Amino acid sequence: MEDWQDPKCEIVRAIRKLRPMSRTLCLECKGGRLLCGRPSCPLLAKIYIQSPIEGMLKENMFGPSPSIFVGWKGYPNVFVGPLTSIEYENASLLDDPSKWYGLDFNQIIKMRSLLVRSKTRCGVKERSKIVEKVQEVVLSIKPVDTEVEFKSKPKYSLSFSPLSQPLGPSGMLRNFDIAENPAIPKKVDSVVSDEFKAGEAISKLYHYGYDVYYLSRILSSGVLGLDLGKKMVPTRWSITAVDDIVGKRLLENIRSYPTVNEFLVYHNTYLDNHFEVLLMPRRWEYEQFEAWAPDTLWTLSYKEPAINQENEGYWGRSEYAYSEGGGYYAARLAVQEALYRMRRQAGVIVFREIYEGYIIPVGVWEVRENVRQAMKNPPRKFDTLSEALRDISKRLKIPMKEYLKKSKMLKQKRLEEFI
Amino acid sequence: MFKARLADPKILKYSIDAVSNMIDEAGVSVTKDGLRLKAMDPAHVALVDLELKKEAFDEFEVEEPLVLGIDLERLNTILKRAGTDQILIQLDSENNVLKIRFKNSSTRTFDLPLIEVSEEELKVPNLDFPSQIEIPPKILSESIKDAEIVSDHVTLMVDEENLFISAKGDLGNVEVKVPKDEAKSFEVSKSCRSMFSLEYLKDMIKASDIADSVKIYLGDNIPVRMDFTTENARLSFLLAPRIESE
Repeated sequence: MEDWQDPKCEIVRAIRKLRPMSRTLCLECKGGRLLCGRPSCPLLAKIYIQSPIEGMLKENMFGPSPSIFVGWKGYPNVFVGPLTSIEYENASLLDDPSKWYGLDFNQIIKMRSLLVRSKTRCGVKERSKIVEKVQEVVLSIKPVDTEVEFKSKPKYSLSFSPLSQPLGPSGMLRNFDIAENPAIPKKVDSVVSDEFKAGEAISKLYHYGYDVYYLSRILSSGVLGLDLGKKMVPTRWSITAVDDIVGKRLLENIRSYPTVNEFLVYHNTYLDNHFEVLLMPRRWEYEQFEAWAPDTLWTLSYKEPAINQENEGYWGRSEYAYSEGGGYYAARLAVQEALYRMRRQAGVIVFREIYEGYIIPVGVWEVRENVRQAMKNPPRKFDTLSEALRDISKRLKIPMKEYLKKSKMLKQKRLEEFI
Repeated sequence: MFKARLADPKILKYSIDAVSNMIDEAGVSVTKDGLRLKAMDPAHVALVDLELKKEAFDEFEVEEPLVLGIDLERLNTILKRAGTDQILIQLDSENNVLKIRFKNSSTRTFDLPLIEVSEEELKVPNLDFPSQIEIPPKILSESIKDAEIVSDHVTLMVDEENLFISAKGDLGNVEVKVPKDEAKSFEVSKSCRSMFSLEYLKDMIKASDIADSVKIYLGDNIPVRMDFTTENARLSFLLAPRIESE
């Protein structure tokens, strides 16, 4: 019981024992793509620790299910099942990262530990009873009471991913039943039952006011798409897919707006992640730096900070941002949302510094909510790029010249500069 | 009224291919002298000036000067379908479309809807270039392709004797030397160098296939101007440099 009061230390201790497979591969992979060829990431190995919750796990449970989880290993045959809360209170909060901003590692892990993941193997195109029930859980805007029957008592563990939220205990599913009518909004029902491509459906629902967290769950459950194309999407892929789809739609509008009038700088720090967002008075272009301090999970063997860089031009990108992965799309979305609200376009540079304290990846929501928060803060305004960069460099730990070396946008001159 | 015919579609195909990646949409002016397109890319890094003289066409008729708002990406995808067929272009002002017809054993007609283009005033720098070198376009295009193997940027440099096109990357370096004698003309008042992004250059060199010569105007860390010319056409680019840093 004493240990549970401060589980962070124990988890950090467990993580500290882990060793990277490769100096450089890990930073690019971040446990997501298994570039080392292992069947699972040794740095993200499931962490088994003692938890009082263990005593509460039983072969049969009854509780509210706020969400589902679709695995990716073995695709297209993946583990699917609801996430069911052990506690009755606040179940909707447990899988809604839009409300998590401000929570610390400890609170996030504690919260996620309350969700029991049930697993059954399904083909992504399968339309069984279980899949139908999973879809009802997902479409409901409030947690649905479910009765879950496991093959054996679920096991307590913690697992982390750079993309999806941490996962707590899990067990093999025998059967589950929905014990109440799911609350599916009419608008959602009509979009889902209409013949829309998944991308169109997502942008329609986004404009009705549903956040990306709800939309990525819907996408993962396989209710979207044209009839034969309907399939479940692993949770981790659905998150980035929705960031990209929504972002691209917003961008179509953003490109038609006037540019911002001056250099605007926004910043915010959360969970040892520091963001600086620079908006420049020019048409849409986007560059993002991701600088990892030595000694984070992905840079255990580094002595110097490592900077990843990705960028895109006016027309956006079609190639996946490999070196930054989901974080690129999550931050870009948050900036695009802000530009859309401002009815302005801009050339954007995002600096992300990840410090030693970010030892546990909590999922890409941290980036999205962190940048959303940054864009809510009043900006600092400057007349020139060099003034703006000077201001930004005051808050960055890595010298600006290191970023300049890697930058594509800051190095490219523009014709106006020669008039 | 506007009507034009090209027995050999190559010149139109290649010049539109060279600009359509950089410039999404543009107003194309049509006068009795021919077609002219002048536009800047969205990032304001490159300026394109394309001139197709009336003489480049086998038939060219226009009543009064016009500006056609064209989605260049669409036009490019249509022209890619041309093969070696003869091309007929005709303005259908009633429906606000440009009819593009490929004629061979069959006749294929595409309607390209015209678009509204904003008349943004182009702020074009007026530059003095200390060096002007004219070379066969093939030399330039091959060097740019060499540079692409190792890097995403390239340095153009001249001294009294040579033009150098070189690139440095993590995977190695490449240097192409073009001696003065190989150039069609070589006027260098002082040595100079500038670095450029290959992302732009690799599109620009598509013009090599239709040009007889390319004239490169170079200075020290200023934009480069490249004029690809053939008898009846000229495709000019002005490209802003990258900062060299290390």
